[in-house]
Amino acid sequence: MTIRRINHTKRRRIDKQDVSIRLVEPVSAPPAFNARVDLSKHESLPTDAKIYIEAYRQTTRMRFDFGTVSKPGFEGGRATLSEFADADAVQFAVKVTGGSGATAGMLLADRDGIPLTSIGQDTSRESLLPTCSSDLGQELWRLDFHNSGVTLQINNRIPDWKGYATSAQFRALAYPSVIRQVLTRILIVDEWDDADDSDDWRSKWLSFAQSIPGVEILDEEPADAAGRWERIEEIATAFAKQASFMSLCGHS
Amino acid sequence: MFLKRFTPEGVEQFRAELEQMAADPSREPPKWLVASPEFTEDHPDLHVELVEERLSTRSEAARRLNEILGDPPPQGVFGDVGLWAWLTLFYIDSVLPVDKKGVRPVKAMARYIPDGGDYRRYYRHLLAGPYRVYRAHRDDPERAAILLCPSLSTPGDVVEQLVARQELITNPVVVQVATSLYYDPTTGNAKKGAGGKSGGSARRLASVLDQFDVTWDLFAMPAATLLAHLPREFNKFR
Repeated sequence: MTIRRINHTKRRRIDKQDVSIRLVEPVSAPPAFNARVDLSKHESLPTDAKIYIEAYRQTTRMRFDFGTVSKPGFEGGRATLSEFADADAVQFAVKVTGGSGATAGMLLADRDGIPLTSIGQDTSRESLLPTCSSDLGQELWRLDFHNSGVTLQINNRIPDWKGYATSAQFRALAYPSVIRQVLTRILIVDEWDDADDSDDWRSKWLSFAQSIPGVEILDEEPADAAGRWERIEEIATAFAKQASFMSLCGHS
Repeated sequence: MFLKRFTPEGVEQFRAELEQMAADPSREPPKWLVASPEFTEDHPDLHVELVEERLSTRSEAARRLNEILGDPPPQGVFGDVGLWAWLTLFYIDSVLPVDKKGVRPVKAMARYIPDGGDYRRYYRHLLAGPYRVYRAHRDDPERAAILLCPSLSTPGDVVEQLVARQELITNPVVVQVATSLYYDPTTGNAKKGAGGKSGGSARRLASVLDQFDVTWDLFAMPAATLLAHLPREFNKFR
């Protein structure tokens, strides 16, 4: 079963390649960013429509004025993420809002789930699993599911938590479970089985899962829950196998 | 005494004590933990002397916490589970007072110890919640009167319904609308009927705003425009 979404409004979807949010280097604390928003495909947008860029991560959200359709840009060329201690796993949304008349305050175009990129970073490679640190009490890691994807949280009391998250031991122990949790959310909880919607984080995960060597290519994901649970196990097992986690950890 | 925070072991000790209080509401809170060198540590950026006092409303608590934590507060304060858990114990007579039956009825743990990994439940913390609301509306805290007026220990249904959607409660337009609808300035409390599930209630407002969010930029609309667009069920509060 494929879930279809209907856009009842005339809101336009901004293509992801038409937006880039880049960290200003050298990275400062708090971090700063600049942005490029290309709305040339949306000629019918009113020239006085306002553009806002929203940065968010967990409980923190900031909103920045990015000018108008006719004159986009930050005053001063950049914006500072003053409410964020660092730029890890910060996501962005772009909103174009009616500036006057009948459309004042109306959402005319938008794009959500934009990651922050560094200068020189390949923007065509988007992380499926951004990582950030959080106070997790006695837990080492946890997944945070939100509207635009899933974030891997690492306990902020772990010294060099970034190194820990990329270590072979951590990946070997955690990633098969990550795969299971994410696919359970997608296939069982959300009942999402469309791998072709390039705008949706769940489709990106399904597409990634299907690309893992050893995972059978299916025309459609299994319709029944039992079949989906089996599918999740198949994918997690194939992922561990292609990553050679046992060998990576020094076991034969 | 000077502000401290719990170590991770201190948080777990406090949690265990609260669980025992939940099982036996006549049990006294573990006030000895507040100054325990084994379970607490100094905050690296905050050297503030606290005075024992009773805080009765969320507004009173938020203002006091804003003074304690400074403006701007150190980075990471909001996500500091050890700090909020320690503050809960320091202000335990305000957060979890003795009720008419002479006991302290412990409720959901997230009210006393923030769930660090699940930020959606962070607002349920009885001190971190109002503090965050106050910080979001510090330019005009009266705007958030509906979220800050209730009792600190029993925030009530209106707060519960609205704070569950953190993207709503940081939005000045939405919060202004909620205050306009549900706050009664003559009593300083929520209007009758604002809680619950009936038409025009805060629960319904949250649902309607979820629908509006698809069409409108809720940050960019004037509050009066948003109020005017609400369905008729809200007329009794307008």
